Order: sequence, then structure tokens, then C-alpha cells
Amino acid sequence: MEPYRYTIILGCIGVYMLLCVGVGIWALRRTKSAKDFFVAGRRLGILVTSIAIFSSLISGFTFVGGPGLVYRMGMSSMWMLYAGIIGGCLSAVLVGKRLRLFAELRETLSLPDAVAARYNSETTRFLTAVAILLGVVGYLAVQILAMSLVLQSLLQRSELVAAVPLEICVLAACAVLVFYCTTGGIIASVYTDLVQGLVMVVAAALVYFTARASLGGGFTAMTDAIMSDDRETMGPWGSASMLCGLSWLFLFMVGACGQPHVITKHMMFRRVGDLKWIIPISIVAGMITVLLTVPIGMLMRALVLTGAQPELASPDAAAPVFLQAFANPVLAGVVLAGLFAAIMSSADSFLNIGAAALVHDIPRAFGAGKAATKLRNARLATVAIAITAALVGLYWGDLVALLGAFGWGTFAAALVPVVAIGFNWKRATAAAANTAIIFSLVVNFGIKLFSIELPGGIDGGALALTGSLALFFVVSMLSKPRPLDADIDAVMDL
Amino acid sequence: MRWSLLLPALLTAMAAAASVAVIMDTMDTVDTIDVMGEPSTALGTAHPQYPTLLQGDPGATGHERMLPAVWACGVLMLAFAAALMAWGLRRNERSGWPAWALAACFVLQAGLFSVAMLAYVRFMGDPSPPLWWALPLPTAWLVYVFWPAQLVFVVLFVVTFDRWFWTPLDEATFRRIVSARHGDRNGTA
Repeated sequence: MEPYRYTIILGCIGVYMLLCVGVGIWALRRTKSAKDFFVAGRRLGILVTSIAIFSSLISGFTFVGGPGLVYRMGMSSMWMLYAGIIGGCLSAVLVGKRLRLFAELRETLSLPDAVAARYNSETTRFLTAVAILLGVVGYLAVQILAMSLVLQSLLQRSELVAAVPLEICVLAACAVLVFYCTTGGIIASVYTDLVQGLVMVVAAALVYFTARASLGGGFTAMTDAIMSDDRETMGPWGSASMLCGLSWLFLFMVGACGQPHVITKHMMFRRVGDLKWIIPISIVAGMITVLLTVPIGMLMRALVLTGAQPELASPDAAAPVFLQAFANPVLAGVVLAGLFAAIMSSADSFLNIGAAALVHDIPRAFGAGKAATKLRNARLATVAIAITAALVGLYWGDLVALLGAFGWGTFAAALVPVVAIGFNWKRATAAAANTAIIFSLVVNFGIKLFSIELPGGIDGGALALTGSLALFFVVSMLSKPRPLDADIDAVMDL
Repeated sequence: MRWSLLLPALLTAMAAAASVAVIMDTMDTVDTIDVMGEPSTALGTAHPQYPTLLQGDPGATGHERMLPAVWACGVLMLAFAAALMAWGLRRNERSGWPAWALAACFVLQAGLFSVAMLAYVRFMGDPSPPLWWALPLPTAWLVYVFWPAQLVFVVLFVVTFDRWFWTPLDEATFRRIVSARHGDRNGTA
């Protein structure tokens, strides 16, 4: 059985990768301009947009990091999940409509385009693009590295090859990703997201039932085993402090409005009215997928505590070890394809918004015309960002962890005031937006670079977000707003 | 209602509640150090046998003192989120019954959160807490009730979308704005 096991698993992943390449070739024919490349010509349907939103949101963090956090800390990480529904609604209500309106009104290709139109400021466009680029490189590096490590582990265990250097795995992982992103741009990205999203839902459901059946007595037995060791771990706060849980709730609830790889999808659907169904579909699909990955962490913790399983080398090994030890090969193949899907669906969105920042937003902030955004440049930028992120992932270990863990917080603190508040408040000023972005970057990176531990276990991203929101309000009140363009002014009344 | 004042006010109140909780927590940490001779981290204490696992504070005795401030902080967070949603409604819908409907959703959420905190108080004092659908009561309440009950915001969004969020009149107005803008650019308007 064992030799066939890894052949079946790798076969499932191979089929999935070929599917992605196929979508890239199909999308190539539909990508004729920069508008197609970055915003899919603003003609996506409701289902495609909904699944693209949810699959961009769910990355390797959910499938690898999520079970790992439950294994390590018990129920603490549930506070991130509790934030999801309200976060999705906030994102739609505060950002979705306005972004879609600005996109059509001003023919915007990127989030910084919309920000520049709203604030009438090239400095704000530049700072937004820089914040996005900083977050993208770090977050993407983590995604590529995670995908490569899983691939390396699988290849080595399969014994099909003697030893596979990590560099080769990075190359293989990047090749498929870069191929479909450069050929088909965001069109390939959202249609692979559709495939990836469906794979993720199936994978999560299979995981749930397998985990439940893996320990005699089901979830009650898992909970009993964990609580007999430490009952607080299964309490509402898990092992973490109460303020840590609440700060995650705040960061993931309000911060959802500032995730550029997710909110830029709001520029791509056909009509504002489509938002009515896009939001419920994406929220429900996300809820199901995320919730179903939690039992892996519970199961692995219970098994280790009862002595049925040796202690894991690291919490992130919870999902891979579960798949190797308990899942049949087809299930493991589908779930690992789901894991690759989760990573790649976020990574392709990051590549797209990073390319837009590099070839479109930053040059425009320095006076380049809109015509400067050529399709060829966008493709080259996509390759350049992927190579940079891969190199960062391979050789800049600490910084990758730093940037990856703070990707969400960095985006949230820098962009929530600027887009969620500023797009709905005419009094907001460019000076306030610039101050909020600079403050958030300094605080986020400062806390991590100097390893500052905040009192009470408050998350650094949550502190940066609270501070940047407060600064945004205060500076807006104190500074004189520039007159809005008539069309932007009128759209902000809708 | 001046939303531009309400939001910063809620944010400030939330930060104040968190600060009170931090002060309580600092006092508890000092107690813990005194009693146990070893500090606990914010993410948990190291498991004595398995280094990859963390455990909660033993007995969570400090949690009891912090809980009122933590509860206030959580309720203010939910209030901030509901106020942000109201802020995103059409400008002339930000007062009146759309705002009241959002307020009702907030009260429901705050109530469910409060029940979870009360259940946690009982959980702390109960040496053998009962399980409810395989989880201790406060956790089960959060997972099975508080979390899915947030779908009320999604239902409200879908049901009222055409009246509060994007009306046919809005669509027509937007089309006019787009035509005027693109006409201006082409020199035809």
C-alpha cells in the first residue's frame, strides 16, 4: 500500500496542477488588455466573484496554520473565525459598493487608483501602493515557501527521488503559479480560484468526517482528553489571554475591510446589484471551510496527550501528519490538492495586486500616464515579484516569518482607515490618509523588528489598527479637506 | 447623529476598557509570579511535558477580576462594528429605522456575547464542567450560537439591499454620473 500511497497523492496534486495550467491557457485568449489583466474587464458573474473572494481569503494559513494553532493553543484561534461573518459584511457595506462605483466611474485598475481618485492625491496613491507591495512580498514569500516545504516533504517520503533540494521545489511551485498568472492575469486567477474554492470545500468536509472518526468516541472523547490535561484550553479563550482573543476578534473583523487581495475583487463584477448575493455566498462558503479544518488540531492535540501519537515536530505539522497517519491516499491527495489550492488562490491574488502596484500605481504616482500600463510590463512584473518573493522565502527566513505573520495586520492597519472610513466620509483628508498609512507601517514593523511584547497579550496589528483609525479621525478633523471632484462627490452621496 | 463623532467615541471607549483590563492583567501577572515563581506568556504557559503545546493559566483565577473590563471591551467592539455598518448605508438611511434595525442586531450580538461571558464565570468555578455538543458550555455557546447568529447581519443585508443599500434610483443616478463624466472627457457633454 505504502508505495502506491504517495503515487496516488502526488497524482492528485499533479492533476490539480495541470488543471491550473489548462485554465491559464484558456484565460490567455481572453486577456487582451491591462483592464482584462487586472480587473477581468469588470465582467465576472456572481458565483465566480463569490468563490474568488472566499478562496483569496483562505490561504495556507487556514489549512496549515489553522489546525496548528488549535493544536498549540486550543480554542484561542476561534476568535479569528468569530470575526469572519461581521468582517465580510463590513467589507461589502463599507468598501465593496464604493470601490465598484469608483472602478467604473474612473476606469480604475487597482486599489491605489481608487484611493487616488477619492483623495485627489498622488502621495496617497504612492503610500497605498508601497503598503500593498510590502505586504505582498512578505505574504507571498510565506505562501511559496509553505507550498515548497509540503512538496519537498511529499517527494522525499514518496521515495520516488533520493533527495530534493528546497530550491527545486520552490522552482516547481512557482512555475505553475507564474505560468497561469502571467498568461491569464486576474482572469486565470479568478477562474482557478473557482476550481480551488470548490476543491477546498470538498477537502474541508472530508477532513471533518475523517477527524471525527479517527478517535473512538468522536469529538466528546477529544474534548475529554484535552480537558483532563488542561481544561482552560477548551474554554472560550484557549491558552491565550482574554485580551489576545479579543484583539484578534477586532483585527480580523474590522481588518477584513483592508485586505487588498480580497477587496480588489469588488472591482470586477458586472453590476453593484450583484453584491447582494456575492456576500452571502462567499461568507457561507468561507464559514464551512474554515470551521471544518478546526477538528484536525483538536484531534492531534488529543492524540498526543493520550500517547497515541508522538509529539509533533512543530504545530504546523498537525495537518500533514494527520493526512499521512489517518487519511486514505485518495482523501490525502484531495486534501493536499486543497491545501495547494488554498495557498495558490491567495498567492495569485497577491501577484496580481503586487504587479499592479509596481507597473501601474507607483509610476503613475510619479507622473506616468495611464497608457504606460502595458500588458507586457504587467506580465514581467508578475514574474519579477514571484522571483523576489521566492528569494525572500528561501534566504530571508526571519523576515519572511515577520512579514507573513503580519501580512493581515499590515494591510488592515494601513488600509482600513483609508478605504473603509475615507470612502464613506467626505471630511476625510489626504493628510489623514498619509498619516494613518505611515503610522501603521512604523508601528507594525517596529513592534516586530524590536520584538516588543504588548501588555495583556494584545496583538500588535490590533494596536496599529486602533491607532491608525484614531489618527485618521483626528487628523481629518484638524486638516482642511481638498474639494472633491464633482463626480466623486456625487457618487459618495449614493 | 454625528457618525464622525460616534465612531471615534466608541473607539476611545473600547481602548479605555482594554486599558483597564491590561491594568488588571498586569496585577494578576504580578500575583502569578509571586505565587508560582514563573511568569506566563500572553499566548499561554509552556506544557510541562510537550514543548509544542501551550496551556491556559491554572484555574484562570485572574480572569475573574478582568472579566468586567473584557466584557465591556467586547461589547464596545461589537458596537463599533455595528456603527461602521450603519456608516456604510446610503447617506439618507443612516438614521431612522435602518439604524434601529442595525442597533437591534447589535443588541442581539451583545446579549449572546454576555451570556457566553456569564457561562464562563460558571465554567471557572465548576471543577467538572458539563459538555454541550462536545464542548464546554461557554465555548459551545460561542461556536454554536454567537457565531452563526451573526448571520442576522447577512440576512439583513440581503433583505434590505434594494431599499437601504442600492436602489433602482441609485442605479439611474449613477448611470447619469458616469455618462456625464465620460461625456465630459470626450468633449461631448
